Amino acid sequence: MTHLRQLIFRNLVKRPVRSIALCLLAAVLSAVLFAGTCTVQSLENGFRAMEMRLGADIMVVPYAAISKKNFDNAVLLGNAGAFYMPGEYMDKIARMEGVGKISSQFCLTLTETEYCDVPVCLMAYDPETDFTVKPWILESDGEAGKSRGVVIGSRIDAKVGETLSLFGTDVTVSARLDQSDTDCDTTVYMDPETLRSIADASGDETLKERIRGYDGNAASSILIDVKDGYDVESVKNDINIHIKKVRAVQSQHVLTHAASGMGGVSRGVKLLMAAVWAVCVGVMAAVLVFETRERRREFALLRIMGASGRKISGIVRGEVLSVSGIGALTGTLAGLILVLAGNGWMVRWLSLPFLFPDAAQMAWNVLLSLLIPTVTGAAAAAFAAGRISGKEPGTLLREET
Amino acid sequence: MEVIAQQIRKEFIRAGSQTNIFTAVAPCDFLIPAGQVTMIHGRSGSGKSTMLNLLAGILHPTEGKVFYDGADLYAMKDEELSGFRNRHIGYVPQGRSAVFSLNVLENVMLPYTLYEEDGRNAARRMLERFGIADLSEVMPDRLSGGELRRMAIARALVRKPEVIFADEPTGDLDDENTEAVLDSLCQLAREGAAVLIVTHEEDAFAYADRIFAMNAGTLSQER
Repeated sequence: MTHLRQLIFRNLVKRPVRSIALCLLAAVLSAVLFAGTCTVQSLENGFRAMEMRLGADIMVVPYAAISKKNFDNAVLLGNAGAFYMPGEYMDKIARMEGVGKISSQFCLTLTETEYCDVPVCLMAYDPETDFTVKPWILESDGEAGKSRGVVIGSRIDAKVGETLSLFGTDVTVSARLDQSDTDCDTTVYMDPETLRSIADASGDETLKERIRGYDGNAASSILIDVKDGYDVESVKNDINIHIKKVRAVQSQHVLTHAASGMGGVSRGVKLLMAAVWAVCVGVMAAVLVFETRERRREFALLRIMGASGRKISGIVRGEVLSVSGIGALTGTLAGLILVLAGNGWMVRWLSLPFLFPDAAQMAWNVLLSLLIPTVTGAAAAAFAAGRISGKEPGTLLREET
Repeated sequence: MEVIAQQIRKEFIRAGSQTNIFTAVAPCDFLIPAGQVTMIHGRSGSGKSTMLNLLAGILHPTEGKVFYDGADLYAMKDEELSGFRNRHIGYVPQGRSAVFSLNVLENVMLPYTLYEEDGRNAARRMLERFGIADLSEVMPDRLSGGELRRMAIARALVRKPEVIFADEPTGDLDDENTEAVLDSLCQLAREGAAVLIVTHEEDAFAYADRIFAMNAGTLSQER
């Protein structure tokens, strides 16, 4: 052993309980910081995406949809399910004061496919009147909205130009939507004709019956863009008053609810991160102060042999930086696994859009979750080392005896 | 190298009281000549170890100065003083003194390691000199009190210091080892080192060139 860093390594190995405890503390701090930051960012990203994706001022869905499912969340996640209302409502609503653009969508069914790990919604939209799907097309072959040319959400595992088989009917992916982390990501949008051929070819009586309803102009949802100069709330209220068995909801109202829910979760996560950080700082400092007191004789010996106060500080800092660095790395990896594994669960539990951070945000999070526990360890070490390295070796020996 | 202390005095404040001050070492002049073995004896609590620490540069005196060949020890900054201790002073502390995460050889090499130098060969020679070469890979917690003491002496002497301080160096040793240790210290003095030994064992006096008694912080020369 001819290097001081080997002494640091030996000290760590010789005191496994302390080393592991400090390592674990740093790992917990790192994991909480990483997972917490990712969660907050995912919520914020999801909210931003949702804000952009809710292109309609008002969404109208069958009243039955809200008795089965939380309505706001259904709207937030972009799918009110397989509930229908008469198609003539669209004409009635279109004639109402203040209603500008209007388009309907029809959800045939949610079905398991080999293209996605969750059930996929087969949705008919009207390419002529649509104003909520087309703006979010990420890539396209120009055939979207034409016969057998479908638009897929971002989680569906297929490329533009590839063929999907849905209930035995082959359709071509004509366009792909940007990620939103709403149900839009697991939806296949198609023109009514394509949906009809899928239902007919399926041999499934339920689907056939539903498509017959669709032929009678049934709709799952009606999306409305209010004309400039009109009050969205008044238009919404008019619809709720004059159209029976439907519920119109204002997107902004939903967003306000979502923002409040997201704010609460974000605040909770941030508080948790702050609390874990404070506990880690306190425990690390206490462990190190206690431990350096226990090691007074060892430090006195090193000082007697010619180690300066700065060298002693360096040894203590080196030990703590090593374990907190390893802990931070382990914790970050654990946090990453936690976030990746818990992503789906978080979406279900929170019922809020949850859009994972992009690569740049992720790299920044990794850097922070590596740095903060390491710097926290270094600060605790500096505090403990300062208490011991400032003392003369003779004083340390005297305290020891 | 010669050590001269001028009117050094050390006072301590008793724990828990800012006013209860006691004098551990009363003002005195003191010389540790090169090439001689100087001994201080006295009862426990008489101030022997404090005197040793003041002279070894590990405890600032309340008053007075300590010179090593004219260099004022306590005028040095910590880095300089630490380096000076490493190169010129060998110190054998009282009691068990080992870094327990290192083996015997690594413990003896430590004065070199602290300055990123390779002291392996010098350490091996020291272990042979003190008859513990076969224990070089053993961890200190496996050593007897005598072996630990010999390791501490080997470590103090490994850089061939010009000034050697030993606080009860034979405390845990049997007669044979006591003789070997004291012979080694005398040998180093004959080679030109200034040696100061604090002891309460009268048998050791036979090895001393000069003997001092310490009584309640006051030093007096007996030989």
